[in-house]
Amino acid sequence: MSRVLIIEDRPERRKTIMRANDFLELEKFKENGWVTLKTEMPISREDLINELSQYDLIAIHRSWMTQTGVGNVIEEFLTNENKFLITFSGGITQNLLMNNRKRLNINSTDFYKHNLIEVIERFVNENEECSEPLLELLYGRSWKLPLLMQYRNILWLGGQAFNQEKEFALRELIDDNATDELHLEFINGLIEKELINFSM
Amino acid sequence: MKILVLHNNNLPVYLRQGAQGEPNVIAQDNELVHYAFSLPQTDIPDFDTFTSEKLAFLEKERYDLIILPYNLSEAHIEYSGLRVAAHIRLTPKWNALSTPILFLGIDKVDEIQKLSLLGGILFSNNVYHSDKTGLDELIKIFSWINNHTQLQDVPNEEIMESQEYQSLLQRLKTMPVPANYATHHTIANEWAILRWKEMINWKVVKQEPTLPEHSKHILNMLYFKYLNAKHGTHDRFKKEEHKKSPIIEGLEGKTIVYIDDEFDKGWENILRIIFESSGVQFNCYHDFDKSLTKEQLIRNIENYIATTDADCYILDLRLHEDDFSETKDLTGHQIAEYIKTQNKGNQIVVFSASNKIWNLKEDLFNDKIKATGYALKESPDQNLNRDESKLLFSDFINSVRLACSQSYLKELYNKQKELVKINTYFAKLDSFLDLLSLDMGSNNQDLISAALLTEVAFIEDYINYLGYELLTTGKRTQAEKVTLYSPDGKQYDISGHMFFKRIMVNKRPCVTEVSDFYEEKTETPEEWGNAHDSDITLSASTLFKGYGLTKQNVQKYVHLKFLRNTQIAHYGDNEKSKIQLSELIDFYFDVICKIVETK
Repeated sequence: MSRVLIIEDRPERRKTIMRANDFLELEKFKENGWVTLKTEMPISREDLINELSQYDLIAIHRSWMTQTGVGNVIEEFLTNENKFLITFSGGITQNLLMNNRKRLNINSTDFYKHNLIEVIERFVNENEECSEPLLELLYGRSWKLPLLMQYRNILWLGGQAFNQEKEFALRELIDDNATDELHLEFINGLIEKELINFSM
Repeated sequence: MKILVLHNNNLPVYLRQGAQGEPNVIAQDNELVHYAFSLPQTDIPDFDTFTSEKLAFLEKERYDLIILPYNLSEAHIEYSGLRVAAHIRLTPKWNALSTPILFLGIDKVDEIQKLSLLGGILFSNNVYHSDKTGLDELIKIFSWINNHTQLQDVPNEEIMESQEYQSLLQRLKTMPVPANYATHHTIANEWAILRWKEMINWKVVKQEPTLPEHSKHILNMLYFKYLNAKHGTHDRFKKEEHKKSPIIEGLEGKTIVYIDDEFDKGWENILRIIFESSGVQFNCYHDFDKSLTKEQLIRNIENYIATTDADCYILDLRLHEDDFSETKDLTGHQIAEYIKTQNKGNQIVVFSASNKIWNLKEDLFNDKIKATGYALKESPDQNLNRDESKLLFSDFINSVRLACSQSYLKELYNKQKELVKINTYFAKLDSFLDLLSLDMGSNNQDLISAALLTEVAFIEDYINYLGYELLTTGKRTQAEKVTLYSPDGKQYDISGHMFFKRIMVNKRPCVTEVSDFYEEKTETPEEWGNAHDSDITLSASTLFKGYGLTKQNVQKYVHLKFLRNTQIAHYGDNEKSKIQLSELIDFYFDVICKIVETK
């Protein structure tokens, strides 16, 4: 089972921002052991890494990272271990996905209000497939839309922009049965369908 | 054409050839300079700050065309290319407010419109889009843009006032408001700070407030840039004649305590210079440890207040995270209540960052809190012009000045507490203090008259209550005998020798002055009356003989009695003068307190 860790140095903020039902749901997840909610972590490198290694998706309030100065250790460890890292803060004005969709900077309100509960539920459940939790957090059920558009951009450039390996990976995410390059018309059709259901 | 290409390796290869930042000439003398806008793979402070720093070179360079993709970051529908373009349009110092922008990509405009709140920029002046990728096709587009764009060397102010630019701002009005703006008022606070910094003429005090690092963050914020552009150039405070002086008259020697969790945004620095230049002792509460619960924070602030003695408390209402989900019982409300519990005469000015808090105003002026004033920190959504901003500043200053002028009440309430401790009878005077509190510096004659009546009635009732009596024997002549009997059995002869100067008001003789007592005169001088002639004899002689008050203090009673009998009870004459609040306060301390303490 995948495990989620949320480090929030001011937990009352969570209560303030989250919808009441979501807040209760998160508490239940905590009791189930799906998610661990902490206000702080050990800051010595060894202890911190020991702790972090128990989780697969880690969300940290940026102020805690800044205050403790452990940002670099966390970034380095989680990148090497290919784990998901989210930093959230009220001061983030534009949500940004980075590091091949393994890293997300997100505004606190968006983090707590968007699709957090659903994503945790899917991410920790072995019967569910949730390979792109950060995209799901940002775009919910429309999480494939940015990938489709990215892929279409590759087609538009005629393969000038990305390496093949990345293109294959992208293609697989869009359609796991695809063996050949996907055609523009096919992608456009998928985009059209996704756009019908998309809401901001 | 000199063309700038911003990309994240997601534009045709020939647009990003050569060394980054170096000119690369392609066909038909089109000189391209490309910059990779690749985001770091680890934490960046903020995309807006990243963009503002990344494109700072635009301050020095000018281009005929800027090319970029719709998106520059990893998730395609972040549409960060649109955001970068919006930065270019909203950052006057980059000198590209009207430089043509060409978006390249396969995205359809209706898709972008649905997926991005900044999609409107595609329809603004000098913004083009194309899905062509061939060099020849693009060169034709460059040429078309070159022929159809009139690049005028006009000042930014002129561009920003143009219809085209105003239309761009209209198209950007759907720009997402930063999420923490709605709850934490951070932007409003930082906006107001920058506005004050600009509005106040710091040269007067030869000192300029330093603002913390995060103020720069807000200057980089796209939404902030948008608001700045929206307000145009007409309402800035560039000229000295438009600025306000930081020195506030009438505050010298006062003490002010400032309690606001946003103090470190720059408010403390600004207010410290303003108040210290005005001769004020300025103290700021600092311990807003974010890990404290609301109850702990309240307790800590209360402990701090218990050690202070201020003429005015400047207080924000939302001091704790929890307050942003509350509409009642905010931390500030509870602190205000505590300040008033400490001393009903303490003065509070509420200084808040959001006009949404206006709904809470009624709580500020209820019986428990009774704030002296409420001043608003300007927020960008108010769209204030220069005069309106100055008015808000004046509101703040006037509230603080009023609070400081009312701080005498604090001393009165302290004294009153002592008097009631001596004898609960003196609680009768509580209403006198409450009437003065209600006045709030308005010098309302009805309130002041009521306060005067309370004082005069109190002193006369008190003398009766103690049992002082006058006994007059003999005929009503100069030879009659008038004796004051004190409750402890002492007798004072005041017959005949106690003179009152009297004038006729509304056909009634009214005492205006009391002469020296026991003057050895055999005849009453003209315009003067004897002891038996007035109802003030008992009180005046008790004050003078029974309590040994000076003639000057007895005169204070006589004067209040005169005002009571003329201006208040009988509406006085046509030329009545205003009753001065200071007389009532002096009477409280010099007469009432004296006789209580003598006992």
